[in-house]
Amino acid sequence: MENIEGGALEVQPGVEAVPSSEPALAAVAAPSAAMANNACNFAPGRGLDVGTANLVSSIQDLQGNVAIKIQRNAFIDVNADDYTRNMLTKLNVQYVVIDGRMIVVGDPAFELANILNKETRRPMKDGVISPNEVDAMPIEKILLATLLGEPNYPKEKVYFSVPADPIDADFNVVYHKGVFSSMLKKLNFTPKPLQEGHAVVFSELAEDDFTGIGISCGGGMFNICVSYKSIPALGFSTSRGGDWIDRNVATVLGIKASRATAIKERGVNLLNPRNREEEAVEIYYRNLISYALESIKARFESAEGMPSFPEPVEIVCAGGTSMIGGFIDIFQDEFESINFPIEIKNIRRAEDPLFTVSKGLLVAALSDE
Amino acid sequence: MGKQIDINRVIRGSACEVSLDSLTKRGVKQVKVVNQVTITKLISQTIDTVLSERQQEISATEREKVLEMAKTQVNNLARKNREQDQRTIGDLQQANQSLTMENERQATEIQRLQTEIARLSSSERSNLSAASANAGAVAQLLTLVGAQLQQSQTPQANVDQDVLSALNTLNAKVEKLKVAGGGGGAEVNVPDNVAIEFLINKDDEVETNLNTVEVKQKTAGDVKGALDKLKELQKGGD
Repeated sequence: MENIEGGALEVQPGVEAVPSSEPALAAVAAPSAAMANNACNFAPGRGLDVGTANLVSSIQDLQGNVAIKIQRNAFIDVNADDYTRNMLTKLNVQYVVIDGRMIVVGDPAFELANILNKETRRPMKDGVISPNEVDAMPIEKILLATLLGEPNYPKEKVYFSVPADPIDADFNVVYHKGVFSSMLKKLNFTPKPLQEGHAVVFSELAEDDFTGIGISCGGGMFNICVSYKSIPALGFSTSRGGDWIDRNVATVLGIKASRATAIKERGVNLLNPRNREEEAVEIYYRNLISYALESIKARFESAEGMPSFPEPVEIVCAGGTSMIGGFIDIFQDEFESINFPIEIKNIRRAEDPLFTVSKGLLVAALSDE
Repeated sequence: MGKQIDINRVIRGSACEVSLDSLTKRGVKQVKVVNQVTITKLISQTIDTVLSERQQEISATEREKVLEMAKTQVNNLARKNREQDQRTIGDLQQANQSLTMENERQATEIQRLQTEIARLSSSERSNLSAASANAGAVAQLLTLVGAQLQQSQTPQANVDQDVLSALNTLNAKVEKLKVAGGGGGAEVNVPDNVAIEFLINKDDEVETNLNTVEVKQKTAGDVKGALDKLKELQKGGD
């Protein structure tokens, strides 16, 4: 079964598949022989990007290479019979059975949803654990176990991403943060939360002494962090992201949101939409970017204690929603149409947009050892 | 002329009174009733007929003797009937008394058995309760709190104090972070958040093939430059 990222998400050159060295769900409890074996191969500390659309884990081997595991943060119900069970295993499709219901998890769930013209079920919504999805927590725990495996060291630290409080929605991330901390503790890790935007800064702004603006453009939200010498001066989020585009495109085209996601991820260039579907994507993308920039501007203008940078700073955009063709151009267009209160020297996309947050979290974890 | 026989009195004296309930208990559902007047009339007619037929043959003295004999015979028959009825009534009363006693004995036994069942049930519940005191109470609490949290994502008034305390701690930390403007990497300390634990542990033992299906792993450059720079900054370098 083809990995969805292979086509639409344009995985970066140099990213190649390597054999998995970590066991999946089995025996996540006590330290084991596997821990002793892996301890000599990997540095202590993990990064874990808990995104609405994707879960991404990262670890560094002793040669300094970063190994990434990624799972689509979605699942879908299928018929629970022996034939399906056997076929799924033969096709290398992950499933779990909960309360007698067979559930396909991760990337295959997304592909199945498109084939069957169904919606995927999502453990997270708008950047946090979904209050409407009853199976969210057991599924998330299983997905985390497959991404992290066992700790390589006792009480190994996992820096995991959390959204900042939104400026345009009435909720906080306290519960979400507590849920994932508990899950990681159950997997025998030591959880350390870090804001998504801050992780972008750690990953991308080293050359600027970690000074500038990091923006994580995710599925559920945009997370923004203004940092001065690695210290976060301001962090907040806006409650629109890639899912907002998918929902609206699906509405105007009369299709499922999962289908809209697939259209969006199959290689659309916002500067050159080729059909009605891509035009719908371009319209909503432009609206999303404009909304985010206006919100950021308003927040900056109202913020107390905003740093006054001695020199112009850089804006770095990361996250899956920033990967679409023409994103930075549209961002630049919209940016120039507003009177931004901070002097900006450059706007660019991160090197590995889908992995940026996870790698930034890994930097934080490794520096904490 | 001899003594006049009052047949009505003789019959009344010879008869015994039996209640309808007694008859019912004896299984008598129907009785044939003969009026006392009719009996008296029949006796009188019988005697008169006999006497009339033999009137020519017997004297007044003989007639007196016959009447006396008839009277004696009637009295004897009445006495025998009365004695028989009294014996029957005695037997029935004795049987009834036996049945009453047996009924009372069985009622007492039923009462004793019910008391014993109640005592055993109470003891069993007590034992079970003692054996699972923590597990049962916690499970109930978790079910309640878990459902509340799942529905609302916000702590309710009757949520376990541990949960409220943990959430308040987190709230305080977030407030500090909001002031500082960043994540900071502070460890979240919610080890006793029983509701969250419950929700996460809901499906600890699930059937899955995840341990046989490999998750794709990729290499994605390195973070050495950023890490060195950050460590240098943390040491206070430029």
